[in-house]
Amino acid sequence: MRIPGVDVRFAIIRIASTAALFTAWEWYGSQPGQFALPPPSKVFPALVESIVDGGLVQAAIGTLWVGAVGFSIAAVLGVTLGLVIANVSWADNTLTPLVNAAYAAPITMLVPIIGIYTGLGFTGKVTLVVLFAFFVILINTEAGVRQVREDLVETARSFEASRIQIARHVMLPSTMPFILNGLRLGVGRAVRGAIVAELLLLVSNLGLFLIRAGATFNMPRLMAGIFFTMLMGYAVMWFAGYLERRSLRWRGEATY
Amino acid sequence: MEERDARPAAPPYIQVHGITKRFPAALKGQALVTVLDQVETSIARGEFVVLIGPSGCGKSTLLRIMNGLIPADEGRVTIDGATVQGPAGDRGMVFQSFNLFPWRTALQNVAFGLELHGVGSQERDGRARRLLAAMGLGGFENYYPRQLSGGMQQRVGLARALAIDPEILFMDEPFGSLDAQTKLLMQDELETIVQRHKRTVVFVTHDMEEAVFLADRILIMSQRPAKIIEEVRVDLPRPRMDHMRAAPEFGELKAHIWNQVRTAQEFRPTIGAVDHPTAATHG
Ligand SMILES: Nc1ncnc2c1ncn2[C@@H]1O[C@H](COP(=O)(O)OP(=O)(O)OP(=O)(O)O)[C@@H](O)[C@H]1O
Ligand SMILES: [Mg+2]
Repeated sequence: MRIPGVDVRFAIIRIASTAALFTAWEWYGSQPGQFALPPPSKVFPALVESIVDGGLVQAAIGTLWVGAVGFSIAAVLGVTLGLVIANVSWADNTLTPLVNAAYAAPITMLVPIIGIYTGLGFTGKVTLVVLFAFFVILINTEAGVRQVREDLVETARSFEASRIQIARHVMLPSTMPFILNGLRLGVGRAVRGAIVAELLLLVSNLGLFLIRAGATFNMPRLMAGIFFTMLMGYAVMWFAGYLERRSLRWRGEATY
Repeated sequence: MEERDARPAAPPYIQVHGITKRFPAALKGQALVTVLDQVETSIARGEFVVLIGPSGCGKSTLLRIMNGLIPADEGRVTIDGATVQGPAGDRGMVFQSFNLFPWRTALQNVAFGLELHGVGSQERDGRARRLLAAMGLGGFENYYPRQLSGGMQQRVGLARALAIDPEILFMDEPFGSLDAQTKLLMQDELETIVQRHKRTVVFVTHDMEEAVFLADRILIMSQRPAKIIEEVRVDLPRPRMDHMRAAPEFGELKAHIWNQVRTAQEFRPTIGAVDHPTAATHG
């Protein structure tokens, strides 16, 4: 794929910096009197134990399921509405201020309201995830449509392309990088939304795992949960980025 | 000459009636800029017409109006008696700035029009492949535009327009980015294609030699607001051959056109122009 020499150099830098981070963490965590941040030598056994006894993996799957359902809904709604707002001026005029206000607002503050409307169960959690992920997808899609090159639309028109053909063959591929970027950011926010829902709306899955560990002051277990959540987020984001790069190969290496 | 009388009063195929086009000025509040001013001309079926004129006079604009991509403010264009309302699938356009779709490979770009018109993938790929080969781009089928040089991109744009085998070809400086040798090869190639299929071509160029080599008729446009100020018939026999470039008539025509273009190009300052960028006096 790449020149082997370059790959190796990157790998060395990555391993070295990770090792340095863990060493620092180990040193800090094992200071006498340090309680809130246990060192890796305690966190990792706790992590293995949590995975082996099944609690953590099952909790993560539950959380991811909420995130996935909410994200799918947010993706469909966000892309559709983004396309509409960018193409229909009255929709733009009425909805854009609302979208901007909602995007800037901390979604967490809606938790009590959502709870009343949808209940605390699955629907409520999914609703919260949708609200977390929806706006960033919408805003990116809209920005994408606005940068479609007029000369390429004209080129398609010169081949007597219909409106639908222009949408499919020019609008969609030129907007795609923006949509995919929005979806990648949206995936991250969906994971965040799912965990927030399970911490604040109805404690369950990963949220339950974290709160229980915290409530019993089992700090290694809490850190293990946090570490696992971050790893999960990283994996999800990496996968989304991978899909994005794959479908944008025409843009070349420099812009991913 | 016989050749001239062989195709005398062919009925007009494309007619341009009093086309006027104005564009908004760059700054708000300034008057509209009149680009085309009552342009009149008619073109016979199978004729190869070359447009020449100063940069910015409105050649690209006129092509886009003739093809129905943008509306005129006054006047109308008719093709075969029908007023042009918009683009049509039997007219092809080669754009000055190539306008390749960056997400499509060279092959997919060439196949674009065929794909829109529902041609099956086997056939359209075959046709696109052959055209790319004819353009000297065999082996570059799977390259994306960003991986091609300017001249290569230009030839992909040309192949894309030829792929739909249009009745009329509008070509906006299609060889402008090519090196001298490739340009000559492409002119020969175009001459062959156009002669074989008897296509009507409207072709913009700044290159007098190219104009004389390809044209049945050369239209010379003035500065903005542009009109067609001169028409020159080129009565060299078809098909055009490379050796004709050395013929005395060829040189004479080139010289004549150069004279006309120079007249058209007479510097006419429109925006507060500096007379002579003063050669600063050294103290
Ligand atoms: N969309 C537009 N909006 C405003 N002005 C325009 C627009 N398109 C063209 N013009 C103006 O119309 C004039 C003619 O442009 P056009 O591209 O037709 O020139 P041209 O003869 O093709 O020039 P060149 O030989 O440099 O390609 C220019 O002054 C340009 O600024
Ligand atoms: Mg032009």
